[in-house]
Amino acid sequence: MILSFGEGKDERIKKQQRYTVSGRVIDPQGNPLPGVNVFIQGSTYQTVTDAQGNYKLEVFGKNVLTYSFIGFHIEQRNVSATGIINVTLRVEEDRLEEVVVIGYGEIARKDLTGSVSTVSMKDMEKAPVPSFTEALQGRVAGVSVSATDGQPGQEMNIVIRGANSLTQSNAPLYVIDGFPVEDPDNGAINPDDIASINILKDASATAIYGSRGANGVIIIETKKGKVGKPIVTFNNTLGFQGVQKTISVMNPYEFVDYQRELSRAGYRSYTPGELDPSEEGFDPRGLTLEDYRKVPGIDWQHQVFRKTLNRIHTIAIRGGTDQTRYAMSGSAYSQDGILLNSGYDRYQGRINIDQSLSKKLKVGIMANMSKRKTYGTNVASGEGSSFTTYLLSRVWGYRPVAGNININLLEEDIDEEALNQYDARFNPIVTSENAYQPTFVTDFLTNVYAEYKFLPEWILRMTGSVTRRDARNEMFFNSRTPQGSLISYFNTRAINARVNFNERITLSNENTLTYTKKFNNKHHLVGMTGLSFQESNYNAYGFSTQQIPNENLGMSGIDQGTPYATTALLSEFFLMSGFARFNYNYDSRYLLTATIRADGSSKFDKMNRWAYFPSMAAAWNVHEEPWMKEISGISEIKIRTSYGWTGNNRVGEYVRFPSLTQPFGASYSWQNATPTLGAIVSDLGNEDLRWETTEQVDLGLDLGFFDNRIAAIIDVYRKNTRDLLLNALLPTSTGFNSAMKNIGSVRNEGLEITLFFDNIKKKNFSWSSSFNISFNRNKILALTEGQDKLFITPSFESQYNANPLYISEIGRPAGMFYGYVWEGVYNYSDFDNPSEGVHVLKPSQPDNGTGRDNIRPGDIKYRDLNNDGIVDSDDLTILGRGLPIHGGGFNNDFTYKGFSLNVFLQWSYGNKLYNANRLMFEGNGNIRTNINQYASYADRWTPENPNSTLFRARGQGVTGYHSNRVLEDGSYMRLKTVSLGYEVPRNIIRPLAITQLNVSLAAQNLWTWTNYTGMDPEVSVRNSVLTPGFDFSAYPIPRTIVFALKATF
Amino acid sequence: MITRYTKRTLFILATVLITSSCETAFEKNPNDFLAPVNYYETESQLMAALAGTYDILGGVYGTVWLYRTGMEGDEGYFARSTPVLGPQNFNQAASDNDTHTIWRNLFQGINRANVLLANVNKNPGIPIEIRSRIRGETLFLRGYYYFVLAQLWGGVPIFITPTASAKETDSQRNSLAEVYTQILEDMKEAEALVPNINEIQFSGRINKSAVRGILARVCLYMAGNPLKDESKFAEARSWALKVMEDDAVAHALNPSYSDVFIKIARDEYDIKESIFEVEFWGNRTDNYTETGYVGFANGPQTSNNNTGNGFGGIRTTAKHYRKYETGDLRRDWNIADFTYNNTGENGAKTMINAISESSLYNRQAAKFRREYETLLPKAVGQTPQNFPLLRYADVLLMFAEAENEVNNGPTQAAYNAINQVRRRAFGKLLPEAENVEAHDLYGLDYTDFKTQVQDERMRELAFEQMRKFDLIRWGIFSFEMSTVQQDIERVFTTIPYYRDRFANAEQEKHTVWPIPAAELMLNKLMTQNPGW
Repeated sequence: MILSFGEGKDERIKKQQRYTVSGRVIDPQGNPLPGVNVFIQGSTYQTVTDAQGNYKLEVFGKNVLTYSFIGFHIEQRNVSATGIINVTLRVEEDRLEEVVVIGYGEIARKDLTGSVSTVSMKDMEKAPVPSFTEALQGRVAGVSVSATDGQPGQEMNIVIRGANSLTQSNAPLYVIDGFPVEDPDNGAINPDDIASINILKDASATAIYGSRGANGVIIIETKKGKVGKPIVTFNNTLGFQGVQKTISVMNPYEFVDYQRELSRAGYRSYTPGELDPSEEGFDPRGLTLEDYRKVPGIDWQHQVFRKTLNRIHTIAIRGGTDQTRYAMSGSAYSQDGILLNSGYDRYQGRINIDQSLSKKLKVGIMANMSKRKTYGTNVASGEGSSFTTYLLSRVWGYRPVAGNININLLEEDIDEEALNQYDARFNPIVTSENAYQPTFVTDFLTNVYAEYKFLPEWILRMTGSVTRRDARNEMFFNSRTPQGSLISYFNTRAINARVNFNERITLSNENTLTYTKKFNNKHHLVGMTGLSFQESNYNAYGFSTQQIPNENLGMSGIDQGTPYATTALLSEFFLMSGFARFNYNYDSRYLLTATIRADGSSKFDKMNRWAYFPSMAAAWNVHEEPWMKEISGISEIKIRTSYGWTGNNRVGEYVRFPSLTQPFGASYSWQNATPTLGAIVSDLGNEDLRWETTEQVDLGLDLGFFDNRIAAIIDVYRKNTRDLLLNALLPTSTGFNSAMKNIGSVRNEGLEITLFFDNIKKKNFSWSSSFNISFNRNKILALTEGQDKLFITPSFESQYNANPLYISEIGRPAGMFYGYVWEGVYNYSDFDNPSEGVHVLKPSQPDNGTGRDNIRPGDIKYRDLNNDGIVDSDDLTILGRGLPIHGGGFNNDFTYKGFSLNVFLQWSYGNKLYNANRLMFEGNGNIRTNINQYASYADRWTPENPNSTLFRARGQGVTGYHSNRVLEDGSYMRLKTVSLGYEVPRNIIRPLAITQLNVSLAAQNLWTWTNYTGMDPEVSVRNSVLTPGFDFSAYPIPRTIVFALKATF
Repeated sequence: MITRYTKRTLFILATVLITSSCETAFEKNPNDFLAPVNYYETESQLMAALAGTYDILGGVYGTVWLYRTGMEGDEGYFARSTPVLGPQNFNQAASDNDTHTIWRNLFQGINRANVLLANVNKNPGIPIEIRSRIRGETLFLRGYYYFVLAQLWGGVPIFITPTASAKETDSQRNSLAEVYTQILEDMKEAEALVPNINEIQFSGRINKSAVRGILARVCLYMAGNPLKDESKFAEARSWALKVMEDDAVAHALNPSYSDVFIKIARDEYDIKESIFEVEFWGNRTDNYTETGYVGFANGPQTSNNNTGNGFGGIRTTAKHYRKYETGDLRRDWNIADFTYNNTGENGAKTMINAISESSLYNRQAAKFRREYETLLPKAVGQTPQNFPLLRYADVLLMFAEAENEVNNGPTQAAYNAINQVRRRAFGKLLPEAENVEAHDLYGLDYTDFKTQVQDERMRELAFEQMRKFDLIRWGIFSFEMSTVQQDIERVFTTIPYYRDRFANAEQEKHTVWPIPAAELMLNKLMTQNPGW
């Protein structure tokens, strides 16, 4: 029990009679609420409830006692004499009244003018994931979160209200405990340590972050200690991960049948028993095709995918007195990837201390440290230039059976019958087991602050922070990896290894002065002004050695190799900003916000160094009007509008400078001497470079009905981004390919709807839901002068890299798919048949790019758009959109007595996915022998199966053409999180000295509804605004099922 | 209580302090790379810039040039049915990537040369001889890059100063005549500044013979199509003569034709014969990327690592094979009469006996052979073999051609020149040779001599990627390609894919490449070549 006196500044109160009020504060379930602020309205007299929820306060005279606790409704009681007042706080499910953390301050949602989404941490906590970004998916309207694939430790891709920038980063700005971080590693934060996440979306909310606000701002506050006895929470999660689906590949019979169709060599190597006795290789005792029906074949997917363990352990101790509050936590996370020898581990610790030095002065310190390790083959990038060097390529393509009985495919490092100067196929099990390319990252983050309330209305807050991230990347390619193999034609370095170190140190200082004043009880005024500085240094060093003699020494033996490549990189930048915000509201009815920020950055030349970002917003709480109070059923109507400018500075530190470099590629050897490194002007620079500016207008409507049991938040917005920081192409006659320019413009407009329902609210049973949907339309308004379109090719296999797959054109969304229109195959009816076995393409039929004479029935067919009889580059067209039309989530919480059930669905609709795997494994588009195919290709066109639309063996037409044959609908709906929890009754756990015990069973990615035939529709392995939705050898996103135990002591 | 004035003073003071200290904080100048303004101060810095300018030669001749740009004209064809579209089949679009890469490389080279020329005299403390020589080499390279551009695209924009900024990057085409004037100016100035080849003793750096020989070539191109400035024959003649009469160097043919290319494979120089080479180096066991594709892309196909992998990118035409007279040793050197075995020791071969006309189309270009490489291990796709840009045999043939033109008929000097090349072809320069004059030409009129020179150039310079340009300047490209097309149609019942290549090439527009689509899109002043 804590007692607290004011410092006696209110003489009037002191003179009055003193008496004591005490009592207990509980939640609707009857649980005590520790840490509730109990204070006398209009004074600084206050106390906080203890662990049992009890409080005691000395009061003078007649007063109003206020009980306030985050997440609960504020309650008020009139007091005038000693007594016991027990209070039940209602859970603040009324989202319209909660406190929202915005940039440099916080505000009650009802007084908010901008578009700010608050993430429900209660729901997010249900997802068993390592990083909060994964749990954010589908939770917030206007915030698109997607994985590029499922590689453990991979960062999520977050885009708020559509992509502004075409060639630069669209990642939002993160503000963690008040400090802006442009490029955080979100894995560094334990999701369990997060108290709140607020997402600023419109210009009024983000303009306070000026030059870095254009992509939206995610504000994260971590958990602080609360006054009361120490509360220990212990959270353990243990579970399994597995692959969601596998793709069936041909069985040995189908495979051999296909190999025979491909070539005579297929007959010779697999079915020597069926050869003509006169033919070379005939073996009367050899296998026949029928024999393969009985051969089991190797299931490589079964060999490489595994069920793995997933563990999360966290412990936290939080508590404090009214002078000191503290929070300490530690966590360990370990995820074994579902592909052999891959995974992610994290160890993290955190400490927060807040200390009041006097009523006026408060200081605090926070430190967070995390160590992470990711390891395993990088599945979505190849180990060489051919597509067969990608891990999943080899998993699907590796032969299920060898014709030669002396070959044991499972045991050998490489498929020697597929080894030549164009191809080296390594056993996927061996390469996975031998892959050694871990990354070790250590993040150290520390903040200090001092808050000085030197006058009742004035608060000065000064903060400083140091963050440091260092990463070490090791690669060791031993003789059983493609890169270190001594067998492969492609490796000239023998056993080789590489190590890279890099380090970024960022220093920040933020100072704000806030003035809060209420006049005549109607006029509320909050003014804030501030100054901030940020400086960041980055350096990276690395070296490689080759011809390493003793591979068994591993990394410690790399000093015995011959050094070949070293890297060294240094860069730094400085940012200084001044900002101000003015908030005014009249009687919580008419609200007005104005902000301005000025940013100066070392990335830009003196002339363009400073930029100014203003914004304005207004809101009207219609329901607060006296004439509205009469209307029953309506509890909330708020109209909001905002307009403002924000910026983007995501360019390299030095892009404005012309640079002279000496790359190895520009060397020249004279007289057979070691080459002289050439010195070349590699970049023109651009001293005119300045900020990219986004102008955004937002119109919002907040509605609440029946005491806010039904509520809605609706926003429409339009963002125009101009002076795009674009890596603009130059005419190559200048001697340069591109330069960073402020050129081009992009528009994003959209609609966001969030709905809340308290469907059922009974004593023992409740059901509440939230639903959100967002639409965004992206449109390119201008590109580089004179340029009306931009073609992009994702890189994965040389012939396909030569043809563009994406077009970004003025007047259309960025990243549209581009290629030929697939028309199935040529049928017999497309040919004249002058004599037996001779098929001549009818003149009415177009060719397919290979030349008319070469076309046979069963060959792939494309649409001849311009009807000139020839399929060529004039017949290329837009095939579909890469960006979704809408996406969202639907969350449901059920409680029944001690049980709780959370069911969360998430979807994305309207985008296409390019399933490039099918180019190689449903038709063998690159024509390789001895490579297996998807089972679907067993149904290919043959003279006996003339109705198939899958082209015949070798009927792939021109290798390297992109068409909509493999372009698929990428829409999906996912049962993202399901969590069933049980709160063990108090009377059972009390003897164990446990205050709360919750057991639950939670699943992530439990089920996916989609028409997409690939491993997972949430994929984009060459992810960028210009190249979305490309799928080739993506690490599949796992299904996770865990058992969780959460105990509070 | 602080007065209002003190407050204001403090505020101003604070502002001044903060902003002034911040001005220096904003000065984050790059220390990771060099600024061009701080460079070109020492000899080694000039040499580094020179290496960067030479580097473009490797970019142009290091990859597709050797097998996928159609330079072999009627003497061979790209030996793969895919990719279907491209200059190798004379059906590329303006958006073709390979040709754009060559355009980009050449203009990069021109800008690198311009940067170096603008800075070569920045530090007068560097000895003038060194600066002059570097200036001469750079001028020549700029001229040479423009020469290649002119052959491929006709008139292009002339830049003689470095590109200064990313603004206002549009540039207009100069006429072909203006481009050639610039080339002559650059090369003539270079000729005075660069050393003799015997002073430097290798053919990888620009020397007087190289400049003179290439000047002879430039003049022949000016005299031919499309410029047809026939006054330039005399100048071509005199530049060639300067190479031939340089007694200090005493250029001479290597008595053995095959030895010229074996030396190249072995990374040996033969400065008497091979005057100017693009230098390639290494086998990729280090960090450098100075390897090329000579012998891999344009040598016989094999996956035998002992021999050295070959892509076998070019096969020959029957017409080319038949151009050689019996006993001409060049035939079975330039055109493989064997296939390399895919296993076995270095150079293991299977000889080809078939000589039916259709089978001749299967024979592979074999001028550059990896089996003679000495650098081990041999990389899979890359080789250290240099690519010859100017050989003495070419100089002799250029002289003979110009002499015939200038005098409207062959002179004795013209016969002497061409017969030297012919004698060597039949082994008559070897010490044991007998009957040395057996294959000499004599008694021809202007037209016959001209035809002989044209055929001799095909035989002597086969697969050195000059045939297409020669045919174009003689004005017979379309005709010669059509003869191959007709041959193919006559010989084969099932028409092979490469027939289309020869048919496509007959279109008028193929005397130049299309201006790359990307250039047209981004450079508003650029215009497309006719027919494209």
